Amino acid sequence: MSRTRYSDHSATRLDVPSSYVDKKSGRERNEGESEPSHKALQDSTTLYVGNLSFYTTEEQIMELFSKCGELKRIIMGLDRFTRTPCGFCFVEYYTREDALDCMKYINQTKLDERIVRTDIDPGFKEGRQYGRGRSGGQVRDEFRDDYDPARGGYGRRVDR
Amino acid sequence: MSTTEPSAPAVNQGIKRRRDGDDLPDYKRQRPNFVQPAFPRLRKLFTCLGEPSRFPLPESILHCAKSFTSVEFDEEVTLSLYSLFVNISIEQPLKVFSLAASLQCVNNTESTHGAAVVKYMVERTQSYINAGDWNNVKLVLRFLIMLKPIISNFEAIVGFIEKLLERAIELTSMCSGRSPLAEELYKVVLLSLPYLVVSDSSDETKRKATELFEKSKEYNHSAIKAEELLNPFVDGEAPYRFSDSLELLQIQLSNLVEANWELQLLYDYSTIALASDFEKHSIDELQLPEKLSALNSSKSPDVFLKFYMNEQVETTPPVDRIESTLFRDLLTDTVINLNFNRQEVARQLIWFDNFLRPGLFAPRETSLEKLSQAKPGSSTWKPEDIAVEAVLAGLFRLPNSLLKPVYFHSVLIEACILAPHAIAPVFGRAIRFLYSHLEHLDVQVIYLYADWFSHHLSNFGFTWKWREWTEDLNLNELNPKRVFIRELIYKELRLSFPQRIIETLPDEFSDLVHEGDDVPPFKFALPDEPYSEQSRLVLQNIRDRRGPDEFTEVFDEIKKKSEEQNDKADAHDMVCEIFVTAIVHLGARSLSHVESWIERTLPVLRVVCPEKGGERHRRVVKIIFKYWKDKTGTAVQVVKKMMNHKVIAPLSVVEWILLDLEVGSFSEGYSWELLGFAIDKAKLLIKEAEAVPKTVEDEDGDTKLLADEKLKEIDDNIETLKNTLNHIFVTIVKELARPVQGDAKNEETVRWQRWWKEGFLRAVLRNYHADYKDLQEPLKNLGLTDMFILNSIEQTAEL
Repeated sequence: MSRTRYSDHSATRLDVPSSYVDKKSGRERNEGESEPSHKALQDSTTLYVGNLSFYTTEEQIMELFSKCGELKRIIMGLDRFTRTPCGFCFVEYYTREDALDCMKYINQTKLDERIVRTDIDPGFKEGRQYGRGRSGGQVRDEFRDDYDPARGGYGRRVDR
Repeated sequence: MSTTEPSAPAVNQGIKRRRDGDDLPDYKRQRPNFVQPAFPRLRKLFTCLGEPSRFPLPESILHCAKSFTSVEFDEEVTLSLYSLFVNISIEQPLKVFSLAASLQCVNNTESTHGAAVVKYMVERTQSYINAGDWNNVKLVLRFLIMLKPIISNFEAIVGFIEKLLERAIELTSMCSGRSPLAEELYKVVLLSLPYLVVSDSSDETKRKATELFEKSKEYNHSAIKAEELLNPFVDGEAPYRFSDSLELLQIQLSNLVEANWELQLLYDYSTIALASDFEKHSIDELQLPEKLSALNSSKSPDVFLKFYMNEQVETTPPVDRIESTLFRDLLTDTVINLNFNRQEVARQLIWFDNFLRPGLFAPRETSLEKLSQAKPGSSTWKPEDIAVEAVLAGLFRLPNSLLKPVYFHSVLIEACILAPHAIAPVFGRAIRFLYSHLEHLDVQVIYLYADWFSHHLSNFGFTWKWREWTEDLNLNELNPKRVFIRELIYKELRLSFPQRIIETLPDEFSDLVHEGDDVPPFKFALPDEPYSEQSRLVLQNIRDRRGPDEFTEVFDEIKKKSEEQNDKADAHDMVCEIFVTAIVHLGARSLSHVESWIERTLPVLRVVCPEKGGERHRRVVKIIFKYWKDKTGTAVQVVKKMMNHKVIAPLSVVEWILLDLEVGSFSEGYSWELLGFAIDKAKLLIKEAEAVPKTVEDEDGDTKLLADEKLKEIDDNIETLKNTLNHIFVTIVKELARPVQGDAKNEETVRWQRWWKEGFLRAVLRNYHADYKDLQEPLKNLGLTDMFILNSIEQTAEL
């Protein structure tokens, strides 16, 4: 049975990468294709995990994410200046299957009472563990107006 | 637009977006007339068929058909659509009935599509037959059966079912034991029969179905002996008559035959697709190859699990009625095959009743009280109960669920988010049912249950009515109920943190929360300790990244001191204890820390804990657990890391659990977790050794076999590892079979100790039966006389 051009599944698959483009990794997708064109994404066993509380520990992450399979390592996202957790991490599985299962079964569920977001990542590179915002943390924390006690209170808007 | 194109940015240069306030007159930008491409539009229409909608079902069905026939599309789109239809029948089997009706309507106006779809479906069925994917054969075959009105030679389908049956009978008569392939074929046949009648309830079809059913009795399905091992309820305490799915299906079908195939399952589609004149199509016969295969040939027998019963009203179909299997089958296929979108699965579970005959179920969200006052004659079947039961049955399937347990957790979490009022009380009843049967549940089921419930609670603010369990805190420490409460809270803690969990618990339960220090002290280095000075030096040396040689001096000092102190323990043990504790302490800040400290000090660790030193390995595990006594979850992770770095061997971990721990520790979640992990690790080591390449590539690029001594080395290594795995199993059986000593004073404790040991043993024998096939002899040589063990081992032969 040859594969058809369109995805012929009867529902959207949850185990595909989001449309987020990380320019540094050169990851991009061709219009209309269901599979990412980037090689790194097709074989990757690493996931980006976002919307964590600053207080969530590696042990907690391990407890939840190892439900999909043994983890090779966890890399906590840190504030560039203070070297404290700033609300994201990378988890690396041993197998591709476990990573995809994580997208299907754990993405958009709660850890530490926050809905976490996972995304297939082209793979960790030294330097990516740091927040890329001007404040040292994640950029998203500089553009929020709400008070989020688990992510350092109000957004840390930086004067331009 | 591709960002690499150099001209791309230039195009926009100098053009302001109009709404940014320049002085052009304010008008809305005209959009190009956008026509949604045919495929996505039709896909959306067809995949939503049967779901709650503001249009009545007949209208939706006709609308789909009309949209399909009113557009002309190229071959590629057509093929994609046909493929989509088949995938709907596999991934969302609840929708196949409305889909078939819609395709009938398509055939009424556009018979070429009708012919092509049917032809395509037969091709797909054939490819699943050839691949041995019998579950998909069952599902696409059902689709074809529902399309009976537009097939001119339907005998071909019935004939194929008959051929399947004959082959299944032939297969069982040939082999003495269980034949998974025959079971698969037989299941396809039995589950197709009701749909034959559902699709066409004429006397002729009923007669043919009865004929096939009578013939199916020739199939030699002896009830499986391994039932005891697959039953989640132990000690013969199942709250209902427990049986394997195929045996049950036979009983249900025979009841259905007795009732003259009276089965009102579906919406009455006959009025929708009605046309005076339409074309019928003849199909190719499905071929059954000489040699058949089964995709999942190692699948253990299915048993029918129930969690809702003995309510004041019957909320699920009685087990002897065919509906119970038909619903379960439809729901299970949806849950398993649509696992790539759990939100969609949850939606279908909640709307489950919408896809079947109106009036078959009580209205959604009806409370039990209201149900018990329902008018006589109206259905009391609660769709939520039936749907949730199917997911729970998937989660608690023994020896293992078909997908990872966390998937079933996530489906239940989604369902609870989508329809909290409908689903939450249904969960409550399942949770209470399981809790009340804890004393008769399989050990593995208890841990699956604690795992699920803690994960579920972590998604819903940890709110639970703990007070209803307060009294059980006075039970014996090893009573499964008390153990369950302890483990549940402990698992909650691992997903959260102590202060948060204490907030959610009544005071009586807060003793079960061990807060412990975030970083427990390195007590050897405390000023008053005898080894204080040396311990601090060890710590400093590790921090300074010193090599093994540079530790000799301080290790000698410790040994000397230990001998001076006249410690009974081996002097080297003291070195081991101080060094390992130092590493665990340095790594206490996080798992990454401990990982990197283990990596950095590996050469020294190998000296302190040599490869062939079972006793020393066990000591390392003990030291880790001593340090992390309040956070055994962290201890488990550290032990796993030590195992991954091959500092400690799997066998040693197993021995630590069986020989060094107290008997009562078998109720501890960490024993369960580590035992499974260690066995899996030992298996993985074999796999790794087997994957070592036996050839090398020389300079010319030719592959060459390795030298003989190298080959022998590889083979020897594999042999050793296999022996180790066998040794692990022998040790487990030997130690778990050892009778528990006790006196009359603690009779109850002894009883539960025995209970946990038996439960562990049953689970290990069941889950790893494929790995100890050649173990019968060594086990016999142990001289075991325990009937329980001998029976269990005999039963695993059937799995």
